[in-house]
Amino acid sequence: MDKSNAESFGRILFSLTSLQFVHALLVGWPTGIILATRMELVINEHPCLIAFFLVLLVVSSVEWMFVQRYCKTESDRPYDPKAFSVATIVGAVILISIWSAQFEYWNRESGKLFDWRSAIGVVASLLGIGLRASAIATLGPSYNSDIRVAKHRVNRGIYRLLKHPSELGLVMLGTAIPMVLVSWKTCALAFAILFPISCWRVVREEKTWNYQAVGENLSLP
Amino acid sequence: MIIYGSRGIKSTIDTRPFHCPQCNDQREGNLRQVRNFFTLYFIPVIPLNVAGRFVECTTCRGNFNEDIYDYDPEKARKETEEQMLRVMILAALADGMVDDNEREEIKRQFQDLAGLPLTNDTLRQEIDMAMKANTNLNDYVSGIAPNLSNHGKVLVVKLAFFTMSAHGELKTGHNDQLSKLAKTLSIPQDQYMELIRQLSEADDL
Repeated sequence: MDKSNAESFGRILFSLTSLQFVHALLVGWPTGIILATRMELVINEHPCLIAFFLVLLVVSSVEWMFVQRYCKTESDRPYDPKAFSVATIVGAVILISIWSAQFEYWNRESGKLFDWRSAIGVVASLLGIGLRASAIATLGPSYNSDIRVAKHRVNRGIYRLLKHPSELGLVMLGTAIPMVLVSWKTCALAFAILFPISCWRVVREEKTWNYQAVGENLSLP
Repeated sequence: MIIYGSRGIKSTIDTRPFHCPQCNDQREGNLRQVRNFFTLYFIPVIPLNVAGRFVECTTCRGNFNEDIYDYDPEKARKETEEQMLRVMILAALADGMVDDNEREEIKRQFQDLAGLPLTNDTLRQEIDMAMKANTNLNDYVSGIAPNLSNHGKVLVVKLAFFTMSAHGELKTGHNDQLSKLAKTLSIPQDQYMELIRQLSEADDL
């Protein structure tokens, strides 16, 4: 590795570490408060919790690295402000479900060291981020949280197998992350909110495609 | 980009009256600033660079460049009238002097343009100033051309044409000067020819 590569790698590592620090503070405060108030707790006795934070670390790092590598673009004016607002709700729902999953976990405290359902959550989370990463790599700079369609429909990479891998990945992530803590109530609630929202976004995107297919420059209500 | 991302957030940093070109009237204009924020789960966490500023009309919601606050339509209209008067005088001076026919044509065109008559004294002063400035029509127009709309460019050719043809027919030297003027104004040759044809027909009526 030459000097410039090493410097670039160092910068990326520093950015990622700083981001992860802010991220950890934002997502982990419920556990942080409980650990601070209940000193008798030993974190090693909570493998689900360790897995939960590791999953969050992996998911956020993978998404950040793929965005940096494939679609680093300046944010611009949303094409579909309504879809953009809904994406904001999705972000809030995922964040709240991460907090809620931790509260549910600490309230339950079954004493069980490991739960096979937690392993399913880990695998589903990794599959979810895998789908999103593939979508980012395939779409490149066209990938965004807005609903906008390119001139031609992408039919390569993951899009040969799935029409909306990013939406599927999102629902999988939102549902599977609370599952790592075996927080079923949160898991069910997150699915109940995220699934209809994703369906709405999919239908809206299809409508936008159909409008474009007939050559109408219509803005969706 | 659910976890880490960036988005622009608009905020109003000032509200001032301005002349809205869409409403064509005096309106309140919000000076809006778009600042990029680093977001976590779409929540703006860290403010980044200012992506831009624009003025938004509170009535029609039209967006304009920040310079619109300095736009005074009355001042702009007077400036245009002065520029067009200078164009006519320089067109008349193309042969070295402004004769009576040209003076009458300038006064007629100015009244059509401004709606007010041009006094003999004002015209004489403007002619003296133009002669002292020691400039020619083409050089003057090249200075104002970047700020002219297509409509303004056509107006320049039209006024120059009518002033030069105040005696009747255009002279050979006038044709060359008008052609040069069209090049300075970046009017394509075919459109210039069509414009001259239309102006000649109008002049014959």
